[in-house]
Amino acid sequence: MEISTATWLRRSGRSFWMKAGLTACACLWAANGVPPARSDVATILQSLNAQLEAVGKVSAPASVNLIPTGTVFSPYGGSLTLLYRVRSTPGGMGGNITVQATGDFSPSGGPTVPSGGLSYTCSAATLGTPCTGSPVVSLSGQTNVAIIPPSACTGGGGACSAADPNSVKVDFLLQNDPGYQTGSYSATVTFTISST
Amino acid sequence: MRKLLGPVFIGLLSSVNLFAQFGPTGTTTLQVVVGTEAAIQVDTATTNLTSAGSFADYTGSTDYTYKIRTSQAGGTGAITVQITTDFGPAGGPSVAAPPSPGDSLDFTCTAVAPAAGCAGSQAASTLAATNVATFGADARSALAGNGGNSVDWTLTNDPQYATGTYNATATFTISAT
Repeated sequence: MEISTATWLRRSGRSFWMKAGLTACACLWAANGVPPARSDVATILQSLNAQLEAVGKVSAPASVNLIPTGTVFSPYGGSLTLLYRVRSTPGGMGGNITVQATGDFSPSGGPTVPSGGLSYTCSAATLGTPCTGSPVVSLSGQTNVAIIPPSACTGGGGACSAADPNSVKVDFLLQNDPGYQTGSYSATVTFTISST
Repeated sequence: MRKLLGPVFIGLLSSVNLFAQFGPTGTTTLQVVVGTEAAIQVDTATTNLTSAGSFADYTGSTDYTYKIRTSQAGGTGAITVQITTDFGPAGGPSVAAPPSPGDSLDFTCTAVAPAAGCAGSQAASTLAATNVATFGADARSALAGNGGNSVDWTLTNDPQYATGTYNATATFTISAT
């Protein structure tokens, strides 16, 4: 007894289309021959050039609390560690990190940056030279935090710094003037890094 | 596995770096809480009480400078004085046990604003602090302090005192809220 094509396919366990595809390939190879395997090796030379520019990036903590450093009417103090990565050009001018108050203390009635009572010291720079003395923070201009020399680079050791990222410690000091009204006050300072 | 999702999520959140991303600039907010404070400096190390003679009372003046900051709303402050060591050696004047009834060590006050000096003549005591000056809310002194304040002493010149040199200690205290 004849059996239908569908029944035959079902019994054989393969789909109709799979069988059709295999059959077509068999016919093609039979007509044209099976293509041979290829094993050629080719060598191409390509020059890669990278222009590394001087660059600097800095990261600061979101906030710092200034608290009394001693007994009555002692100055308020607080410290932060500034992180940075930098690359400066050999034979160039190097770079620097600066700080500027970008927002005075608010609300009013308390300390103010223009009164000159907010100063800072710098120390422990892992790349470059920290500022000296106690610069006064200004609203109108940037003041130095660290100097980056030429040929500086962050990380990797050898000619570059061992540390990655680099860091510098900044200690702020705010005068405790009895003239400040009681309350909570905040100001904004912005650190900027540049490199050439 | 589902039971671990919460702790893992919390752990990831707590490990977030508190530093901002690296960039050409970085910004930090400086925060300070200015609270009430008070300080006093006695400018007269030794107050000599002297008499014009003929059993006139002994008088002398103690100068002091204060720094103060009281709360903006509802704040107060005070300066007090107490005789913490009575006159010695024995045989002379005494605040706690005078040789004669009516013997006393009194004082009047001169204070520079925002301080308000005590009113009238006050009797010094070894038992308790006596008011010298008071402050109200939002009282604030100059950065260097407010000077020109004084306590003017008057000590009874009792003939019962034996001749000699006698010393007592007056302790000034300042407070602010």
